[in-house]
Amino acid sequence: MVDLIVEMQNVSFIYPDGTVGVKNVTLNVLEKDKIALIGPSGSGKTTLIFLMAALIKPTSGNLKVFGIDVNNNKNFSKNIEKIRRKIGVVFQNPDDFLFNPTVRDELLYVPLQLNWKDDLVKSRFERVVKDFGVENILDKPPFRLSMGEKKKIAIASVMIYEPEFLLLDEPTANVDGKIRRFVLDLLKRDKTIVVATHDVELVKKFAEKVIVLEKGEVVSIGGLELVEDLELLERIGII
Amino acid sequence: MYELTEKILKESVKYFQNFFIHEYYKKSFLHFVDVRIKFLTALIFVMLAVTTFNFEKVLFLLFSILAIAKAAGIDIKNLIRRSYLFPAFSFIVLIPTNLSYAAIFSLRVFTAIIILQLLVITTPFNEICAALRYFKFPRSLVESMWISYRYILSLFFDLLTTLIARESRRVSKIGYLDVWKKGGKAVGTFFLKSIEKSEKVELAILARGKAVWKKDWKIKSNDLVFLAIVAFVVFWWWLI
Repeated sequence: MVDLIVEMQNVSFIYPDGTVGVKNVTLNVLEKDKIALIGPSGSGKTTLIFLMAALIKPTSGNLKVFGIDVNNNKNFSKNIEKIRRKIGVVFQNPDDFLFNPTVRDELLYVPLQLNWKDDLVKSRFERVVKDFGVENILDKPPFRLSMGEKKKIAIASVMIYEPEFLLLDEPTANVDGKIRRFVLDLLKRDKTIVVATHDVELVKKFAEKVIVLEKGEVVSIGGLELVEDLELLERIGII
Repeated sequence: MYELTEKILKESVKYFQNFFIHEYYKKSFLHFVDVRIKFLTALIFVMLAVTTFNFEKVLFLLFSILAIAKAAGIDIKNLIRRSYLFPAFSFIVLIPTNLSYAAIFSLRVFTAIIILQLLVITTPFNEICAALRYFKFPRSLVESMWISYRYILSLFFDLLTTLIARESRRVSKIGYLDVWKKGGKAVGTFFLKSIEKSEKVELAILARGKAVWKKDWKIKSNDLVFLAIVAFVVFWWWLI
């Protein structure tokens, strides 16, 4: 039986100044799903990513992540770390995501919380450093790096603990071709992946399911035929 | 315990961020009142609130302001949510002195903050700056306020996202000491980032210019209606 990773029923999220993040969203994310969230800027993609990662709680509606009811405060607080280690979320803006003094601290932030043996921490660290090609910047502060490097470090700091469920917000925005290809390889891994993006070409290369958002509402859920529907993409402002 | 600390920190940041945000999504009657009149009214109301220890006068003023807000279509619950924290603190601090003094003092603070919040909710900050310039407040003071406002908003936004980013990668329950150790590192990095950010905000302001408060001033009929309501409240406050 395929596991249900995220279950959303009539979920809405309104920001304190009254801005609608998402409105009445009902959808499920199943194990190994490869989902693209597409929509113009301000359509609610980032809010939906934060909700799926259980980083914010819905203003109304029901949300379960890995079977844990996010609205049930007691149960949620008890289990949050367990589900957190299964989730890897990378923010759209790496400046918001990187908060450690050096790249090395950034990469080791999660492994050092997990009580792994030193050998395991060392081997994972070395592998990620090699895979991402960040040997030369390990002792630099993340906020001094270029945008492409910051993106790489943000993704690397998540990939180091191999989460089951990966949520990436605009992973190919402001990156060069090399990092773009790297992201694409990452998206082909055997994981549950949700990507919020404007990048229609990227969607065509990895997604199996497409969710189209407009003004905080889901306007279509379907397969790759949705990104071939030029009329729809033009109407909602993606192309 | 660390969960409580982080929660308090997150909620405080959210509170302070909301404290300064103008509600643009809902245009009430008060949104359209001339900013100079709103500013002067706020000043007069705050003066009325803080120059008396008469319970009835303060209560009358508070209810009048809430009634004006309600009539204009402002969400009263939200207004109170944005204003309760400082009076609650002042009440707790003053309890040991004298309960009735603590109550009247906190009520005065609450009324004054409600008034300021009503101004903030219904007026973009650049318009408040425009009004200050109209009343000949020094340009350097108004410019500093404008820069500080934009910087504070982006600082609170950054602080909140940093807290959320930390939360997104907190995968085990950690000890209290660790929270301070890791939290200390994160705060240090945050301050370094904030210095860079302040330089970028300054550059952004330079790139697009500072003079955002030029305005064509015209008094309209809703301004006169609002002035009449204010005059009525002031008159009754004086009679009590």
